[in-house]
Amino acid sequence: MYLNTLLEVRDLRVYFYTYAGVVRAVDGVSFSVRKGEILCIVGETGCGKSVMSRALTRMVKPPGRIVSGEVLFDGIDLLKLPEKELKKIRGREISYVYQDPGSVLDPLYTAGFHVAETVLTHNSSMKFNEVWGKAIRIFREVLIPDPEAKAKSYPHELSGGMKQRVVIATAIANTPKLIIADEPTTALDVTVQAQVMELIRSLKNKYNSSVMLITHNLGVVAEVCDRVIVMYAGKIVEVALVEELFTNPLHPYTQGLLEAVPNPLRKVERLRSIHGSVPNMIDLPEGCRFNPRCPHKLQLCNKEPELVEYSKDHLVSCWLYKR
Amino acid sequence: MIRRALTFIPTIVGVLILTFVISHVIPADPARLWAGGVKARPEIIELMREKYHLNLPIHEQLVLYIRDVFTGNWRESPMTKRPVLVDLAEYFPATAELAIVAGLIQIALGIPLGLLAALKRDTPVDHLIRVLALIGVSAPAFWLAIALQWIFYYSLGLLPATSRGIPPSQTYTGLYIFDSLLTGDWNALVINLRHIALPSLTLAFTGLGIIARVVRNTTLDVLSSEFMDFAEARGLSGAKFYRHVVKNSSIPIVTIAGLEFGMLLSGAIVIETVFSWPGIGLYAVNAINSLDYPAIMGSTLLISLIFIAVNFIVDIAYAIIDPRVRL
Amino acid sequence: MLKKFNRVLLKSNALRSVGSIIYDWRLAFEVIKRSPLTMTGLIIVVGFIVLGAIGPYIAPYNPIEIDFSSIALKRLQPPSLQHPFGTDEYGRDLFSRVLAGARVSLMVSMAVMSIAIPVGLVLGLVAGYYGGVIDEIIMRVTDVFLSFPGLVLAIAFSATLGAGLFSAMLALSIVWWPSYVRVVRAQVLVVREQLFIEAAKAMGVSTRRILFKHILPNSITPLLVLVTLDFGSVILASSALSFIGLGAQPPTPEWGRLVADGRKWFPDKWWYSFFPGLAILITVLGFNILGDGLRDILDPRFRRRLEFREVK
Repeated sequence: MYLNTLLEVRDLRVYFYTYAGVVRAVDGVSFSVRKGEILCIVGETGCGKSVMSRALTRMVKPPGRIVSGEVLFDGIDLLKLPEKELKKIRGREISYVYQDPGSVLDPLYTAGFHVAETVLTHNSSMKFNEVWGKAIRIFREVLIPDPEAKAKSYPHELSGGMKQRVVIATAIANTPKLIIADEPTTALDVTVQAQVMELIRSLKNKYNSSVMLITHNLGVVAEVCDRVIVMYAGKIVEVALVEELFTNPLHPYTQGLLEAVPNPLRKVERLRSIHGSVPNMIDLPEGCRFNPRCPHKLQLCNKEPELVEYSKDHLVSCWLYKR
Repeated sequence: MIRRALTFIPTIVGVLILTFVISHVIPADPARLWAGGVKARPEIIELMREKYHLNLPIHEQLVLYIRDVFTGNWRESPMTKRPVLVDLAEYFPATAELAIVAGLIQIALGIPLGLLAALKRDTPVDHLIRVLALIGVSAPAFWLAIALQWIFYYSLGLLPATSRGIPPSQTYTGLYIFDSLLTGDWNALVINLRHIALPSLTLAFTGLGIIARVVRNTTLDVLSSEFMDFAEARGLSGAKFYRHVVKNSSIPIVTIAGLEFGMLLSGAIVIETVFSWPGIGLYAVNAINSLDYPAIMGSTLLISLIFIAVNFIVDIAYAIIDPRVRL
Repeated sequence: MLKKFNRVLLKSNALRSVGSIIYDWRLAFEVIKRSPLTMTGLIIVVGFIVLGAIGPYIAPYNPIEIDFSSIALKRLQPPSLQHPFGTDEYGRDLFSRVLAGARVSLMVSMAVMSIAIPVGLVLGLVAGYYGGVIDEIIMRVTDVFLSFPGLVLAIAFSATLGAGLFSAMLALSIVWWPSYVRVVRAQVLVVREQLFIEAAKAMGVSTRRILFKHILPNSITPLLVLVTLDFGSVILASSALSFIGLGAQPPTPEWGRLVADGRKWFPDKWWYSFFPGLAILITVLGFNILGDGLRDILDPRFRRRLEFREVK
């Protein structure tokens, strides 16, 4: 464990037990989040990114179940922590920003109330008007114009970008050590996306928090991330520093991903799509889960590869790099 | 709010026109109907024709009718030989009391049952509540009334089967239970509670299940909503968490409250005869059996006006809870 | 069984985008087979319709004629093997009368539905599709009708038209159509905004064709649940009308009327009121269970839940 490690995940497995079969949404994921970094999790829709992020604080709903794993946060295993203790961590030490700001705010309460109650929950000694004052200060920090008035507005009276700022305000309300942002810009207009990303970055610097950013937008990754984890069908296929990943992608899936979008760090003549589609999560292919779509398929690929260190800070799970 | 109230005016006018059409346009010979139907004597028919301006052109009759409704001239009942409005004022409190008590029972039992079903979703408890709800909406209220009389009066001798009990020493509102509480007349209170038990339970049972089901479904919807997921992610717990559930769940419950009250009024009409409960229902059914047309139309109009008023209150409550709704 | 169910489920989902109604129905059937409660409802409803059709023919005794020679001997007898539901004050077999009553209830509910549904459908389609002044007028009138508790308005109409089964049918029909206008209109408003309607309009398909070929079929599924539930409600309402003296008149063996007649002999001759009322309860319950089950089946959220239900 590095000295500067904030959170360490070991062999996390989350399975969904459904009528149609067992969905192995997160299947043996291990990684760590370092202090003060922005860690990106990249992968196609349905590859288990969101489920994984929620499993970190045990927020998986039935039929999903955390089957195994450890989530060490400041040396404590969150998966073994009693629910009551965990509630003190959610929203205070680890906070979330969800994808769709339109549906995560309770329509019957004002924007300011959401922030105020989040503060109040974790600081029960404070009085409500103190908390309200703090909410307005936070609103100012997330660059909401006219914070006093906006705090009294109901969610339906705010624009999408404004609502996401409110959500971010709730996330930073208790100066958390880790902010988990699950596709925070997907539901927003392109023009607002950049502002929101910039906001997250500047807040992170200010509070020296770590950010775990889940996205499928490689542009965002290149712009704001320090380190990247690439996930495919419930497994980590590659981990690298952002520059390394864009200049020297190892895993065929990562290579495919980078060829499918304009690469900001490399000039590509034309874009290519990855052949095939995401596998059915119930009926996964044998061995490496990417093998049916892989252009470099080997005999070995029928067995499952392990995530191994290729060079310093660059891990990959592929038989091509077996030493 | 005033704007919202104004939108009810066309509805009320529409209701008046509809009752006018029912009473003046549809009958082949309104005068005969007003006078008591087939058996009416010719001179009385003629008298009715004069008295209620049935000779005038239709549109003038309509104007006169609306004027009469607003000035309190709701015609005279041949059955009681009194103005219909006076009769209704006498019978109405009993129906109001019955509907209110039944409504309270529905809320007091329906909400906990619904929460229980939501909590124990897809278990035998949930299924049992579902079946209970379905039986409630399926059972004919009048038959249920008879069955309850059979059990609690004839077989067990626990509760009185008919009539309303006794008025307390002093009446203010005409709601006996409420008045007994006001005057501190405990004797009357007990008697009246015993008398209202069977009719109100019968009436409550028919809608109880619907309320339980709505509570169950909305609670489940709210609990699985993204904002509750986010509330959990923010670390909310206990009262702070459930405050969101309760407030959001109450919206659909308020929405059906108006409809439910209409069902209570309809139900009251049918079961009041069974329990000899001296309310508008008993009055109306007696009127039907003695072909007392003014009384029938008066009861219809009154119930509709109350129904509109209740729906207005529901709309206001709805707007208070939900900021997305503007009055 | 489970495998087959899953296959149908998956297929139905795969084809949903194509809008395959047939797969919806196959799915519905599979689900009904799996839900004992819904199945019970279906059996009751089918049984009721069959009895309504053939009830009077299989009745062991004449349900209407009075055998004056044996009144004294046979009147008000308790249930026995010979007369499972007992006899009434004229010595008629109550079992036969209840059987015959199925036809009366079936007739009334079918008559009311066959008036209320087309009227509601057409007005709802027109209001929803055209909007504007036509919509405003139709909805205002609908609102007025809905400002009365249904049964109360039916009583007023029925009393005006005179007691009798026909006037009760008419009164219930007049009261019942407005709720359909609301539902159909709401559905039309949803469907109208969809792209394929835009496309049809752009291609110059006539308004009438759009209404009846495209919008109507897409509005029918949600209506189905309502119709099933309402069938039960009409039976309940018509029996209530008969119970208070409007609606069916003697000697018509109407269930509500029978309960009212039996009340004269209550509580000694309890069977007289009990069995006709039970017949109402079971029949209406059948429709409600079926409707409730159908609603679940047609609800996409429920469909999802079925697919992703936790296996314990």
